[in-house]
Amino acid sequence: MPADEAIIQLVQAGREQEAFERLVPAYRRRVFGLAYSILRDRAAAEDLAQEVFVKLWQALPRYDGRASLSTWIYAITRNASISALRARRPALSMSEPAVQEAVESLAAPAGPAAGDRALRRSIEALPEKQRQAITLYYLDERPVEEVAEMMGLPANTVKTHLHRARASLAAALATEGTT
Amino acid sequence: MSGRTPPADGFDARMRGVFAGIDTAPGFEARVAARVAALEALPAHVRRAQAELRHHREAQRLRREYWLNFASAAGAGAAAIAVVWRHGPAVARWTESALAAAAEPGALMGLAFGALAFGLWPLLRGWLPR
Repeated sequence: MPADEAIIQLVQAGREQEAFERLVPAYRRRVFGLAYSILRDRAAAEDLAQEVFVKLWQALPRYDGRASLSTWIYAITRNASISALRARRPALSMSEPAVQEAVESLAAPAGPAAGDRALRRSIEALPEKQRQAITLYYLDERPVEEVAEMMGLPANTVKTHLHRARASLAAALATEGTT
Repeated sequence: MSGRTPPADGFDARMRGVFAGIDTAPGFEARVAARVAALEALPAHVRRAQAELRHHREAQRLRREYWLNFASAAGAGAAAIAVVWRHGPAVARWTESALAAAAEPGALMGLAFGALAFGLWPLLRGWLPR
């Protein structure tokens, strides 16, 4: 990625501030998306994405280029997300998918949105890796190869997760009669 | 599924609809900049102390993981020893029959191919169509 090369060159030249100013807009969506796919909570994902960028700012002078910039950033994001998930208290926040679902079902009359609610419920019920793969795939319409890099998995494994997730979702929707 | 799925697919359109609008709130970059500025405004000794604390916590986490893995492996080993200790003759019979079955030429060939495929998997994976 040309943007990555420019960022790396700036880091190597000791111009971390400029590198960081380019890095944040270049990776904002991807870091947030990866955090969201793991945490399933928009507010928590945004907070974590900010923490990740602060960590990146602190670690940027030590970035040695052994791993590609994106791989390095995704690894930091994954680890931070998993730690946050472990540390998360059991209390539900208002932005949790389950709570949003309940609020929507109370507020909205039955109609086309009901189908989307069923789809959301089915997505939430998927196994973790399938849900993560399908979220990353559709959130920003990323190619499978990039989703694989973000998840730290081989592309073929991600294809399998996506295939199974789509099959499960299609079956769930057919069962609920919403397709 | 290679690269993108055709966009005309109704399922894809619905999936995109489900995830539409999920994004950071406006001003995300300004908030990151403010957090970094607040961090940089701290005195050097406080930043050093924070970094040391982070390293200390990370080292603690790694130590915990190490001991947890060690305890799991030791537990599995102890359980295996206990099974052999209590059911020695049955385990011996089962092992003997398993070894006899594995000594069949067909089974040996199968095991050899399996081991070969397992060993070569990292290479084979690169050749498989994506």
